Amino acid sequence: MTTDVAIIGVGLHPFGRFPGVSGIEMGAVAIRRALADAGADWRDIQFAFGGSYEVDNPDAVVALMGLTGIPFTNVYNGCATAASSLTLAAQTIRLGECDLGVAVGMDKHLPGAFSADPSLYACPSWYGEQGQFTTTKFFGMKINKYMQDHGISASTLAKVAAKNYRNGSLNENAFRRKPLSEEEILASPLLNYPLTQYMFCSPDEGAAAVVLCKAENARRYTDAPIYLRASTVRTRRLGAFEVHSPWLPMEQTPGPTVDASRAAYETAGIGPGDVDVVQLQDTDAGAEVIHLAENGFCADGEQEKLVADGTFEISGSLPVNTDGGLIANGEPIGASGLRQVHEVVRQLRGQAGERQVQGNPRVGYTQLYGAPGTAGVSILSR
Amino acid sequence: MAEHLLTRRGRLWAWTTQHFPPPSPPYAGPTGKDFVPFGIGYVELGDEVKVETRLTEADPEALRTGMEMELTLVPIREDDDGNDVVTFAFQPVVVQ
Repeated sequence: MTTDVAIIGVGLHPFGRFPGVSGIEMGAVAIRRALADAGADWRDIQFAFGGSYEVDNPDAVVALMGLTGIPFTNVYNGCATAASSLTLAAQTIRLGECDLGVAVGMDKHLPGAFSADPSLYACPSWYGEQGQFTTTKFFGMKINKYMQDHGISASTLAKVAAKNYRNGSLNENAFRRKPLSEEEILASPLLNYPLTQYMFCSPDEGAAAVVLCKAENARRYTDAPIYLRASTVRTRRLGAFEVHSPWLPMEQTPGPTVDASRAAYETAGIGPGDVDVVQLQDTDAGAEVIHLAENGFCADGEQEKLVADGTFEISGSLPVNTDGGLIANGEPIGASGLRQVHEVVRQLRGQAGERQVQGNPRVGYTQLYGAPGTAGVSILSR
Repeated sequence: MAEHLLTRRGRLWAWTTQHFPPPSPPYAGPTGKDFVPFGIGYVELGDEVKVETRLTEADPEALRTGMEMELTLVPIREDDDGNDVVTFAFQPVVVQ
């Protein structure tokens, strides 16, 4: 894949809580906004991929969009659902069967930590009965170990969360729009040491959509196409330290984010030093810290100084989670990664308003990670 | 498949503490006001395997990566007849 697929439209239904609005309705809003952004008509769309956890049949959105008979494939791939929808949509165009399609994600989660039947994750039932089938405790263990191994302080976690709330306060589509101080974040209830309540994102509701086309057609729709230079999904290998692992082998191997990231850089012919704006999976503030290194943006341990120096602020040299990330937007699983793409596209077009990264950014990067050890990375450029 | 006996003692490789009741189901232990925080970690058993386990200690000040841990049993719930249902856990080895 080089520059053969372009993103010509992006649309969001805001993230948050919307009583009385269904997931499908939010998906339709996102699609309509993406089509309007692209200047394309639903009748011209040749295929769609739709991602969701809570909505059984995202393809039912055609009832609201128009019954045009297109192939519409539903996708669920954990926290990397949106990365999978995007990757499959891009591949459909690359195969040459279709020129113009939509990737959409929508979700409507209840408040509180995610839960499921452990057997659905190939885990024994006792693992859940005794209280170990939770994602939050994995994130607590991973960052606690990382902080000890690489000299990261709790203050750095608070600074990362505070940055994301601050960025979210500039984003009219965000769930949490109130800035929180480092002190408030550190003083909020401890959930899984060293992570406090305000260091975590919440499952919530929302939808996001993108319109993709064959790159050579992009200028029919826009004079500012954004090219999808790579979109990769990887799952964990034996030895990776992953969520929902009742045991691990002694020898540790890199996680799926590292694998997806390396593959994406190689496909795109772009390195981390070329990237101007970044969206990372910040399920919690610690995850953002770890993912900075796992995606090649710094060495392990450098985050302590880089965060203190403001490197990852909107005004810094490598802005991360400029729209507030998951911490400010929450995580409607099916939509989360397309929200990241939406923000990167806005930034690369210079349309991010108060959140606009200065210096005319050219290259953007997005990363998703989640249970049971799945990661997705995309690289976009003007 | 064959049974393989693992050592009862190991070293704490990674850990956290659980300060809110996990969603029930699948969690079968006490919730609400009866919930008692617990530790969770991976213990390296010899050079064979890391086992994820509950820890008897939930005070972050009392847990330290690399500390020696020992197998024990803890109750997680009562069955219909009021008997304790127990599971494996690891506790810090107390140095005499």
